[in-house]
Amino acid sequence: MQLSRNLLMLLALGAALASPRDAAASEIPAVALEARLSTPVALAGAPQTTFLKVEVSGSRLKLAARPAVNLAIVIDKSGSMAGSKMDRAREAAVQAVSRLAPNDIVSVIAYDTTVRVVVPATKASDREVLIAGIRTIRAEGDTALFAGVAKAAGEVRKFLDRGRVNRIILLSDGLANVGPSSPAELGRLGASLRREGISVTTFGLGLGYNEDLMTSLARHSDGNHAFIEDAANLGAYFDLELGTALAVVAQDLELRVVFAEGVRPLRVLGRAAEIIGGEVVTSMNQVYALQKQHLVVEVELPPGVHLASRPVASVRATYSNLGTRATESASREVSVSYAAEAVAVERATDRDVIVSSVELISNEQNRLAVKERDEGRVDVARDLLKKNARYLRDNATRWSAPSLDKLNQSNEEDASNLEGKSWNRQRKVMRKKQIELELQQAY
Amino acid sequence: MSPSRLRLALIILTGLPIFAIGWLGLRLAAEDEARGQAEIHDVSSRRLADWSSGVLEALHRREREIALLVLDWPTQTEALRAALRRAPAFHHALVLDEKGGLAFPPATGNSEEERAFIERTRSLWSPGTLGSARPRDVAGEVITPAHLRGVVSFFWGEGLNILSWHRLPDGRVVGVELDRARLLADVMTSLPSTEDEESRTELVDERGALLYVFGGANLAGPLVERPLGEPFTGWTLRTHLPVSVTRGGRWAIWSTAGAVALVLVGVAVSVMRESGRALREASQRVSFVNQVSHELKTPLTNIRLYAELLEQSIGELNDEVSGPARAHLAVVVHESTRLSRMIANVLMFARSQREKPRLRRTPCVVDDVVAEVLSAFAPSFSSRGLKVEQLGAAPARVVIDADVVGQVLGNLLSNAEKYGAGGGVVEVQLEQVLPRTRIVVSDRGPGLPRADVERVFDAFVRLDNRLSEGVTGTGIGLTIARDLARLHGGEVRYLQSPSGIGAHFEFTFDSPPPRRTPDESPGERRMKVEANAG
Repeated sequence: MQLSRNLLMLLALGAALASPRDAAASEIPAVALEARLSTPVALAGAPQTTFLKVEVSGSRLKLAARPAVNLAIVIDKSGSMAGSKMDRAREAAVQAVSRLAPNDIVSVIAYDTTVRVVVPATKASDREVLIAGIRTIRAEGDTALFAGVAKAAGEVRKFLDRGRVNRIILLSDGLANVGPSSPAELGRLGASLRREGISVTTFGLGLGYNEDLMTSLARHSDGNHAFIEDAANLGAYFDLELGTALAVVAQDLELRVVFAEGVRPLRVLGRAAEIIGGEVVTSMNQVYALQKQHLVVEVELPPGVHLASRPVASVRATYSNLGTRATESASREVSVSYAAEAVAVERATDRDVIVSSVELISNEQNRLAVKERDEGRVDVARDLLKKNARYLRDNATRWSAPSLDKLNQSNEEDASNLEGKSWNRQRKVMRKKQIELELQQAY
Repeated sequence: MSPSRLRLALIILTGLPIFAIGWLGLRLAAEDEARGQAEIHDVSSRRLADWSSGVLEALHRREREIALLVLDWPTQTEALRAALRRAPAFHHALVLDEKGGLAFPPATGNSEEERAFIERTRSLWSPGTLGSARPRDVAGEVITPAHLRGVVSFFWGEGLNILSWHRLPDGRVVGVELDRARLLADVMTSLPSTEDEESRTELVDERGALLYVFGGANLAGPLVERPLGEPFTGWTLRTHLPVSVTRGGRWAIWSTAGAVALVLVGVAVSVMRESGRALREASQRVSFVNQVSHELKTPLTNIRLYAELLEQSIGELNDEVSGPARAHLAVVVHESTRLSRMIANVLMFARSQREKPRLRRTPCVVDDVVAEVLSAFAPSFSSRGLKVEQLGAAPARVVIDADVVGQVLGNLLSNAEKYGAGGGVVEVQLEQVLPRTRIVVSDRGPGLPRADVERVFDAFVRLDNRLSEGVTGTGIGLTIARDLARLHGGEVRYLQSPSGIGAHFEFTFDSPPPRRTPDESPGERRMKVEANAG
């Protein structure tokens, strides 16, 4: 009996060693790449603009291949957090720590006016130390958000490893009022961290946080952002976040689109990207299993003749496979053919690319509306949103796209909440939706 | 010593030590505090210096990292861009060719960000603008081959930015703009976190805005500042010192001084109260005795008067009747005389407490006065078996207060009677060298121990134990004798006898001869009553 149990254990160990994730992962590429034009068939005879959608999706993650996480939890413990918010935050952080595997690394940082490294980067197996540390966090003082994130990055950096998912979760209910505190500065900090492979996920708690700072930080570091109105839901969001972190299949992805002679990139929708001459470059910090992320570029096509075909762009994605830690790449060539009949163009139109483009265009309008509203032009903002809703409604009908109809409704909702008390909350909702659309966030 | 002098002495005796302790304590505390503050200041300054060199070290690490990177940097524009895109600590760089011309970013086919970068850094490198085709380091020196790298700070956007310069072996110069946000984060990471430090320290930028704060409580003492130094132009680390590091020590000194003061004041108060009580009691007794003596004086005078009248009357009677009665009467006269003397002493003493007694000088002969006093003592002397031997004489007619001289002599004889009775002889020695007269009264008694010589002249108020002996003792007799002698321009002294036997009291006094006025006939002299010359 005893012998057979030992034998079983030995077998199980053997099996675990014999089926390394490397082998499994190398069979299927971690990332699938697709690139399509909204009009693969263009109308012949005239220059025109079209949309190129480049889509990256993560492969199905094998359970055995669950990546190690290097996590820093940053908790705003300024005075405004006092009471139930602080309790919930502690609770959620304890829960999150409990969910980690022994091999994961976690640190806990709390900041008010100053920054306290509550628990320096530690193996998650030291659960007691971590939980005891989290329980000492008390709310008081101002908010040195920048320094909190900087110190957290320092802790993550101690075990920085491209083979881990390196992530900071920032929980704040307030503004940044000590140290650098503009969205631009925090965005640049985020961008710098992204280049090191560290993403910052930001949880905006309640109705008092600065959504511009929080979304800017998440956006530039390719982290997630959530607007958590009720602290009671914090635990659920920590779960979601850990779920995504554990579902990372590839990291450090660089997407490079080189346009063919005569094709001109006009603008990139959504995601931050660099346009240099005939090239567009962007990066993604991580690719999640079964999740699609995309880049949409508006391009100008040169006029072509009926039935002719020409290359538009060559797309290349280079990334680090989290399973194998090897650098892999995938590439696609995109070409266009011309037709004289509009029907042919219509028939070939890629509905999915159109919908993504419409989403991102409407998102830009939505951003513009926030800017107008911030400058006090409520009516202009409302008109923009109403127009945007109409645009979305039309496209929803035309392309029978329920996602566009949902966006139409949310724009209508935005338009009717531009004034009074509801504006503060609505602005947070809008910022959350904007980043969600831009980065195709999981939640 | 009088109460007011005692009080003054006590105040001085307690006040001086308290003052001295307090002063010394304060001096010590002040010195200690100054030393403590200086030490704390030193320590704080050193810590600030350590921290700022830590910040600079972080920057230098970054520089060295960049120096290694740029050596392998591709010359191809695209490859260089790709390298920049992946660097976490910087996004933009420029490359100057050997002639100082801009080789990267390219003049055409560049991104908007690259153009902005060129514009904001142009003044740092472009030829003509600063009269130099070479980048300069912080000190403003042109980077030479010997000077392979340097940093230069410039203000743009949110504030300070840093460009790291590197001269490559092929003559090209690379300038790398450090990402400001990342630079800030690096600075913060190189400084401690709050849990490591007790007192609060702040890093402020060139506009005085807080960049980073760490440490626990904000202290309220003086400010210590330390500029980070180049290239962090205008960035300063600052912290407050504790208000007083030696407050505890100072408190200890104060409490010690206070305790000593309390003890001294307590002692002083109890001494004052004790001596005050004794003085009060003594003066109450004196005033009581004084009153009683006044009351006794009149009846005693009458008793003496009638006793003397009776003595005269008896003298006319025959001897068998008068024999025993005369002897009895002599005792009455003698005792009443003694009592009068004692009362005179008390009254004299009491009066001397209130006012200075006055002399009533009249011309007389000292020998007569002495004879009178001796005759008054004769009966009691003979009853005690004392024989009086008189040596020398003072026959000159002088101007004295006979009562005073008699009282002093009486007190001295009374003293001899009490203490020298065992010796059998009392010697009275007279000597007169005008204008002074000297009388020495010696007995053959036990004499006085040397230590008590001066004490015998002290009044009972000083020696409260002797109060119980009452006015009948020598308690005030000798005191009065000395006081009166001094009043009479003389002195009563105790002479140490060469043989060591008996007590010898020397009484000297002023005894001028009567002044003769020109119109005075020797037969009828009018004596002037002189005011005393005490």
